[in-house]
Amino acid sequence: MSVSSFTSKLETISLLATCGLFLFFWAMVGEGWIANLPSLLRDISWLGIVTIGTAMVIVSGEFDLSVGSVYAFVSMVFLMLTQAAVPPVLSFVLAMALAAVIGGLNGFLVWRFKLPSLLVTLGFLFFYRGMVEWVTGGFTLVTPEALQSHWFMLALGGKSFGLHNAILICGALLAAFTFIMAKTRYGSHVYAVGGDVNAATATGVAVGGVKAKTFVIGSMLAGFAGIVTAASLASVSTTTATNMEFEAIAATVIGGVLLLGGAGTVWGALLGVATLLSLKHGLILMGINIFAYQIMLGAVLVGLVAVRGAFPRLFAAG
Amino acid sequence: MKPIVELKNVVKTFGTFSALKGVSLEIYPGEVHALLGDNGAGKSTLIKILSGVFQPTAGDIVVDGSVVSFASPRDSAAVGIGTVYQDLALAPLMSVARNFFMGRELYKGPKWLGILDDAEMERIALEQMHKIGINADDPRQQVGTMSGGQRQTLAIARAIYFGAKVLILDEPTSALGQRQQMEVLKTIMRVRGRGDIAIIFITHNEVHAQLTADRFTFLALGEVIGQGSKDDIAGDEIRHLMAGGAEMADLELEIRAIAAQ
Repeated sequence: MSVSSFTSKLETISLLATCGLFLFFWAMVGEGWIANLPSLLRDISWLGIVTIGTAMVIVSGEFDLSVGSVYAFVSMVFLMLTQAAVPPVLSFVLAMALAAVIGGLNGFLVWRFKLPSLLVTLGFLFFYRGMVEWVTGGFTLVTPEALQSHWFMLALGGKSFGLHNAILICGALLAAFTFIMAKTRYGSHVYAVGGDVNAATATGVAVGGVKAKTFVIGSMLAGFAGIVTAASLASVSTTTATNMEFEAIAATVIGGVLLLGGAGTVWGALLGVATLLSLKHGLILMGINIFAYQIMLGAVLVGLVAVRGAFPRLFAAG
Repeated sequence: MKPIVELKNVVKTFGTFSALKGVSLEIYPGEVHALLGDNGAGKSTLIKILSGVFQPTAGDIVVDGSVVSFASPRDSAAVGIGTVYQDLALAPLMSVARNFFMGRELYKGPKWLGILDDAEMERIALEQMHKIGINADDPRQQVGTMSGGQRQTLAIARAIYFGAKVLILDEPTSALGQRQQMEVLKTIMRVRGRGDIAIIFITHNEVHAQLTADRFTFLALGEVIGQGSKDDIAGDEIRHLMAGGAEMADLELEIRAIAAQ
């Protein structure tokens, strides 16, 4: 067993759940389910890009609750820049730089002052959401008409061969970060600081730097996903990505990432996203009240944690 | 034979409390030097001075004949002193090879890319562990699934591979079951067998010390109460010194006297 068999078991659960849900909803909904697949994949990609970062932050032993607000805030800044006639590519670079600064601030506060990341990022969840509401005054921002067919906007938000580009983008990011986590010094150090921070410190791993980098990546992926979404929908509203951080964390846990850090994979987390959103789309297509999804999500999560707690041996390392 | 490390009259005080009151000892390559003493005897302070965590209040540390001072654990490691702490500095959820090279990874291609050479790290880790006699065969095994003795051996192999000439083992047998303890003692003897590495073996188990040590130093309340080679010190004396020496014997008499009243 190369990585922990604990996580590979949970990744398997998530894979089976996704396949099971796929077949179940195909049987229940029929053709409509297949016709809906492109938009399901698109939604998986949007949340998936965010969740790659969330999973990495959790593996490093921290939490980032601010990603939903950062997603909305960064995409808002991007659209406002384009409205102010800043070229889209430059707007993108500036918005991503902002996302990097936001992540860097999270990392700096958590590492330099030894603050609990759960509280720091909870604060920023409110802060950036408040900024979005204040700046927009509650109105939805729309991309200027002329820009909606700009090549850059189409690259991020358009379609190729009938599929949303977001799917390709998410796939590429997934491949890149799977490689980074499995095969590079940085990835190995993320597992080390999350798994045993004392061991990492004693062997000379730059714990603070690794955690800060992970927060930067988390915020940049959230901001990037926000921009990809904005390019596709050509708008951002104040409620964009509300509760997204919790969906990302739930998906990460369902995908087998250890909540205490030190184990799990980004592709597992993405399977978690697929599980969650298949459930969401399926229930909507079956005409079941959307609130049923939240109830199911809560039940699945608590059930999973309870099963893991009740049968630790089943999921134990080794 | 010249000592590889010497402590000369090392004193360490914390405020008004003297943890070490002028301790001297000599460590020779190829030998196991058992450092014995009860809790509070000053063993931990002594190793922290040797490993660069504390600086002595007075006295000298001499390495290879020259006086040195350690500002940090890094300085101590640089002159070849490797400390294997009780918690071993191993990440249980990571593989043997990743732990072996943690913080000192090997790379494929340019270093700035940071792409790990897992195959090479796995090969070396396994080879080094075999050298000191661990029966591991899977370098990808999670450290958390290894026995306590195997983990000790892994930490020791790692310290030696990264240049330790003096190995400080901080109570390596204390948290283990009997079979695992023997496993660790065997590892110590194999390292001793190489002939070039000095081992400081901190313990409060006199049996373990007698099984492995060439030289003994007994500490009590910050002072050396007994010191010498295996031939100098008889078995009975070891037991007496382990019990804390004359001072403790006096206390024992006092306690008996109170009990008799």
